[in-house]
Amino acid sequence: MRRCPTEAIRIRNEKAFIIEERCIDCGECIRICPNHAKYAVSDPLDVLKKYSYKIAIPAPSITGQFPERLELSGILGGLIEIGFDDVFEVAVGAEIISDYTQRYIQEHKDIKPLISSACPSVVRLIQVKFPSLVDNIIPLITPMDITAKIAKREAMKKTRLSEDKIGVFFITPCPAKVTSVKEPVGEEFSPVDGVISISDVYEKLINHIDSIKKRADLVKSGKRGLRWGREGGENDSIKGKIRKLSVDEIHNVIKVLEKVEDGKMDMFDYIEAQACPGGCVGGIFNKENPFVAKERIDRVAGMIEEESQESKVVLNDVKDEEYVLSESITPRPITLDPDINIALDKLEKLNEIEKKLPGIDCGACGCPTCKAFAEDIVQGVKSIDDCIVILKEEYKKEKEKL
Amino acid sequence: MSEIRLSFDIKHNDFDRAGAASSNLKNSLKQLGYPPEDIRRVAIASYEAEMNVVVHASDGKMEAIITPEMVDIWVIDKGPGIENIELAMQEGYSTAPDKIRELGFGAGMGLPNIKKNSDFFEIESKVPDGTKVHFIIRRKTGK
Repeated sequence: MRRCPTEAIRIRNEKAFIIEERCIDCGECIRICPNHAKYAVSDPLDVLKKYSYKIAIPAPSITGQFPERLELSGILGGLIEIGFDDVFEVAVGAEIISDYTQRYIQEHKDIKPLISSACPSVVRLIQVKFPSLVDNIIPLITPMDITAKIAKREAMKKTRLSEDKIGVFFITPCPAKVTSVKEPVGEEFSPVDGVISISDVYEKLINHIDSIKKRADLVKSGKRGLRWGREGGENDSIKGKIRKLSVDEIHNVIKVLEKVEDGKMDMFDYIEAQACPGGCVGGIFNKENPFVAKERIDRVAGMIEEESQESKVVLNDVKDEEYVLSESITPRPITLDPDINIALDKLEKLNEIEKKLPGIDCGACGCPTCKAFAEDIVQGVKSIDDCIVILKEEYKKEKEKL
Repeated sequence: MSEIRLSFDIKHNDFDRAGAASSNLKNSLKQLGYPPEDIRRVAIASYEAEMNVVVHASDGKMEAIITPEMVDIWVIDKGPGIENIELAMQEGYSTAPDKIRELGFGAGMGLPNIKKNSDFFEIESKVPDGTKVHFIIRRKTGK
């Protein structure tokens, strides 16, 4: 509860409860809770049945998740075994996005720093906690989206099937991507049809990895794209004279964004920010330790070409406007009241209440901090008697009276 | 007319807590639903003003009055005061020692930045009594 970076969790009726509009899907609660009070949902593999032609678009971070002997060709071959007709790596799309990002940064030197739009949790964090920074988010679609668009187009050419018969599934390291497909930000619809977790794929494959047919023909990614699966990889993939900063882990991201808000990060052109520790390898649907996975990605990346040839081929089909988000990203701040006059009164009361509270953030009231508790009192969901420390003092006073 | 008054102490040379006052003010404005562009201006101006006290002055305080129309901020310290205000207002002019510059402060943009980000700005200083920086950021009406 206290770990939540947006104070979205409350304990109500002895159960952890998430305030939806505050949640940014960072997965921190799932990572931290020893009792598994929270878990994440992705699509079951059954959803594949709805389509005649199924394409898996795996996140680059999948590269680090299996025993080394399976190799990337074995992982992609394994996806075919569990029911996909084709595989198109998001690492290829990542390379295309990197090149366009470079162009965008160089053409928009007036906004400093621009912030990557690739991590959906960071985008939502900015909407909720840093509303003044929404214009700093680079308004480009993600590697997942560009890959889905290209994969579908290529499949339509190849199979002559209509668009609705082709299903594109993202193989995800994190639940935030599930939300970004179901409720996209900056787009009306996501080009992705479903999201399957890396852990579901892992469980399907791990017991027979030695019998999986390796498919070297499916491996199209280059080193640049593959390394997007770990922190720093995105920045390394963006070429040119651009001053970049890389930050990972949600609480670290918050500290950096505070500085951006204070105008203290103007020396950077671009910030790669990722909610998970270590980047996408730290996503909660992963199986391997993120540090090991990071090394493994680098090792595989070291054995392949810097650039993907595939990205050059499919690039010709991508129009400039396809890179850009069709809708603007809007601030979604959590305010005390839509009416500023009422909000001011509430803030005044909140500050008064906070002064009375012990300030030890014990959490016994079901709120992560005394400040959050004061806010819940002002909003009418809690009463001051829910504070166990205050209650104890009152009890003591009563006892003395007797 | 609704308004709220906030007051924060600022400690000289306390780099661990530096920025706490402006951060607190910033968060209050977010809770009030102030327009994002205005929050940004308050953030930059108040942070600079707070850091000026931390870096140059002895202890001081920040006082802010928030109304639906504007944020009125006073940053007052107890000395040593600014000898030549005109010079201090020039971009790039700084009296910060190297030690402070190594921490990334003292680029000589503090006061000019406050002025640039506010709708009203005044400064009063007396050696060795102290400095009063007063600035107002008006709330943008409508969307």
